[in-house]
Amino acid sequence: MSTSSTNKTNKSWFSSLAGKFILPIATILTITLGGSAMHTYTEDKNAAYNSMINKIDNLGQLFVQISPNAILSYDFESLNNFMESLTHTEDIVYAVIVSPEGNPMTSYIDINNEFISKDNHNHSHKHDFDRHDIINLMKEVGLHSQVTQKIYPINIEKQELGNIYVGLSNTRIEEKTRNLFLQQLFVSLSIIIILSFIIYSIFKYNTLKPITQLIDGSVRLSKGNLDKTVNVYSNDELGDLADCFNTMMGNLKTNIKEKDEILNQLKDLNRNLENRVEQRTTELIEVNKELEHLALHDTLTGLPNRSVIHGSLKHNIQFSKVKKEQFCVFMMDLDRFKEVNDTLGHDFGDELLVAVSERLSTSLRDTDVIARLGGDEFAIILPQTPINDAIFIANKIRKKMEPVFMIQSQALSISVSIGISNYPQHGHDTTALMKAADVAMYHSKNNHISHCIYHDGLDNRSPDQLNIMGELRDAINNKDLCLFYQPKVDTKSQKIIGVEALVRWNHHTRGLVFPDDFVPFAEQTGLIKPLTSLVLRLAIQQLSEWNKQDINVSMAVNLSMHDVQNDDFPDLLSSIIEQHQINQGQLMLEITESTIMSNPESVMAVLEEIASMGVQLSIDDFGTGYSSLSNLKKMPVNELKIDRSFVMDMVKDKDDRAIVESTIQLAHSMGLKVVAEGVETNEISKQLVELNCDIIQGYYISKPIPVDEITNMLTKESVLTSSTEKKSRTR
Amino acid sequence: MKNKKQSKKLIVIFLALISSTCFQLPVFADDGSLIMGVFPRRPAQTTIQAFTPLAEYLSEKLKREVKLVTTYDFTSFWQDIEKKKYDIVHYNQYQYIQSHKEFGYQVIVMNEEFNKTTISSVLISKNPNITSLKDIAGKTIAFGGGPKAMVSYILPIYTLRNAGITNFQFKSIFAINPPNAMMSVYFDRADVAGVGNKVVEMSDVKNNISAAKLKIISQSEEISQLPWAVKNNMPKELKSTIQELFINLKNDDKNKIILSTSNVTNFVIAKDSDYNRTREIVFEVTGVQY
Repeated sequence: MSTSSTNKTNKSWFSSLAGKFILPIATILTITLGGSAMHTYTEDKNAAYNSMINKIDNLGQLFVQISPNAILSYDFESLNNFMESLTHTEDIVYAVIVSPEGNPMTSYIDINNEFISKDNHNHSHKHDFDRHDIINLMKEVGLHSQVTQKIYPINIEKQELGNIYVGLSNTRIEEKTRNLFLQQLFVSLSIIIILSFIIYSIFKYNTLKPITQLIDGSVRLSKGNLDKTVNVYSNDELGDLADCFNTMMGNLKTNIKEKDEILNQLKDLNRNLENRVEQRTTELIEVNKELEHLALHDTLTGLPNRSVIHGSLKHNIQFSKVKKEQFCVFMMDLDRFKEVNDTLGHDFGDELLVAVSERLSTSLRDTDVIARLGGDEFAIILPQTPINDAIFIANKIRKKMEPVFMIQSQALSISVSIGISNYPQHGHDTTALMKAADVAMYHSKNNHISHCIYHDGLDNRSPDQLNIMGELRDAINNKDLCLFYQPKVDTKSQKIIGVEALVRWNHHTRGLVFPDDFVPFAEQTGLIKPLTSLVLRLAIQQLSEWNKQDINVSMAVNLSMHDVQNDDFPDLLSSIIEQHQINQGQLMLEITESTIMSNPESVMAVLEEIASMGVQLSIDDFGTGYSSLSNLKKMPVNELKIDRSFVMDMVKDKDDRAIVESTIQLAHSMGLKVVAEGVETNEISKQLVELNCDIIQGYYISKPIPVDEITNMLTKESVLTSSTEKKSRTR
Repeated sequence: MKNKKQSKKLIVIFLALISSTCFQLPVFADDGSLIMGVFPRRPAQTTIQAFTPLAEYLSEKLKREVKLVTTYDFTSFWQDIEKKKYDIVHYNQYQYIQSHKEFGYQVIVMNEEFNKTTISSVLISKNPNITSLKDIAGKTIAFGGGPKAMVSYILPIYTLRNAGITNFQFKSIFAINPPNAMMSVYFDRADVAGVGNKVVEMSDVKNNISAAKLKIISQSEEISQLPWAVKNNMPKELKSTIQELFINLKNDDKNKIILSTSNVTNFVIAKDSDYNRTREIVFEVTGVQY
């Protein structure tokens, strides 16, 4: 109620419903009655004026009729009396009979008349007027807007006797009609006020009161008071509205009750949910911690992994840079661990690694960081440690490892190789420091010494080339490497039956870098694995693209020794093939003869697994690895690639020609296809055809070219012919 | 339109009839009443108003009704005299001598106006170029009442003749009565008016014009004032009684109002010989001996 009242007081009456209702009615009444009053006023005024004119006309005509006798008998007294009596008639200011010559014949002037008295103060008596005075007086009085002059000619038998000049004033009529108008206006205003009051009262009782009750009900409703209904007892729309309002309020009350119950249920559910979320959050935190630990630690030994060592290295670099201090990095692996693994089994090897990591942990300070990078490879960071101290620690580790390990009741003695790099002496970033330690470790291992401190003599590529290795790592990650393709042509059909994918590094400052300049480093640093993975993906993806374009060729990809020694490689290969949905027979993996010969038994297992997948295998650089024919016979290979050194010189050197010829015959006898690399001239090509070589490859056909060029070439009918023609034109 | 004009004419006739009814009061008295006729020296209404108190006074004193009668003009009045309709009659000197001679009317009293029992006529004008009688030649002279008006016609003509101006040297117009003759000059309908010397002072004139704008050019000799006469067959006692009643009016203060209302200062006994000079002048002017 108070809000309602406040609203009421805040509102102007004119903007209220009552104001909006009454004002138009009052306006209409005012216009109607006011207009009516004005119309009546105008009509009355005109009627009164016309009546006056008619009356004066009648009188004028009467005096016109009775005046001639008096004029003719010079009865001026009667004429004067006539005019006096006429003058005394209402609304007449003056009445004068004027002779045809223009001289007044009567003298009566009512000097008390307002118009006369106004203009003739100097005439104290009515007979002070002479004829000029009377004429002038008529003129002057006639100038008043309220005075109208009427002239009635007096004639007898066409003889002009004179004119009765009558001055009429409409002042009385004006005043009378004005008073009537004012009276009517007063009555109209009274009617308007009374009618407006009555209408307002009816409106207020019948309409505003129910509306006010509805407003009060709405205010109560807005405050949440749903107990008191609105009491409007009328059969009109407002009554219906009140009923609807009450029904709505009842429904609202029920809904609110139901809503409250639902809300309580929701609160309980929410509470349960919060508890469960809290529980799940706790579990997630635990799992996250576990995952984080797993992500940062080696599951076997519990030591930090490569990610941790990289982060720690960066931290130490920043810290040492600010403090201008030194620290050292160890790269360590176990000597002959592979043999242990192969002979005693992976479980034994794993237990050995755990034991080694435990001894390492006890050998170092709390501030030192130990990480297992993979396999038998460990990295150690020694903060605030100069090289001399690092040597001491390296010796300490060596001594710690000297006692035999008792693994699965079996005594095992093992030594370690440690490479040492120093910040800032051997590098200013993680890659350089790790690489330096890695190079030093390989030197240590190759020279059978327990530890080795890195120096430039160990690696002629450093430090510039070490930086390249860092960049190569980034290039692999950023996929800055691309493939060039060199066609392999069937000598019989003279068509390209396959291509060899050759990796190129599109360096941002060095330009196109060839694989001979970075693959060896990749092999040395472990980058060969991601590099091979990338090359395989790119090649198989391109093969898939060509398949879609109905270009049916085989794709040859070179594998490194590390690849074929990696047990995970077959799985990697299988997943990529599956991903790109190619025919496995279109893929040819090339392994150098030397790689196979370095560890024939180990390589054999991987090759068999690859072959079992349907992937073709080729022995690359055949003739340089001193292959054992017995081993060769066991290999699941499909192709031999004669090393380019024999092919390039076969025209000049008969021995090389003989080697090529015998190799072709040997391969054919073993059911293998033969590919001759290094075909740079037409003559070599001809001889190879003569020697029944199956496939030729070399600059005579095409150098390695980008994908769009090789794609263009693959669409041509005869490569040999076109190539010959192209070269002829060039010459 | 024609009907309208006709109806207006009817209204005018009706009004004229009413007017004549008002002004032509009964002239015969078969019921013992006396008819007192007063000549239209002034407008009929003024005349009735002026002499009604006198008629009522006489009625009261004579114990018989005295009916006051006047006419609109001199002609009508004379026609009534000729019919001897008036028992008591007040008229001008010329009418008296003629009625005396022809019908036997006998003068009993005369007016005393402005404390004088004689009267003269004057010639007045508004025209500044008319300053003496010799300036009148060729002008228009208004006379009051008609050729039988004594003071307003006979006497001025007599004066003009004595000055050597004959009727042929000026144009004569006759106003309905002397005051209107004067007003004819005032309203420029005439150059000169011949009227009684006291007309200027009459209230009828004063009420209508500003007499100060008029000037007297010439004044005539004086003659006896206007007479009151009775029929010759009136009993002597009645005649004497009426005479006494007239002359006694001044003796009673309460009756003085009757004198003033009648525009006289008194009534004095008159005899026929008082009008002999009148008879001479009339003779001089008209050539008729009364």
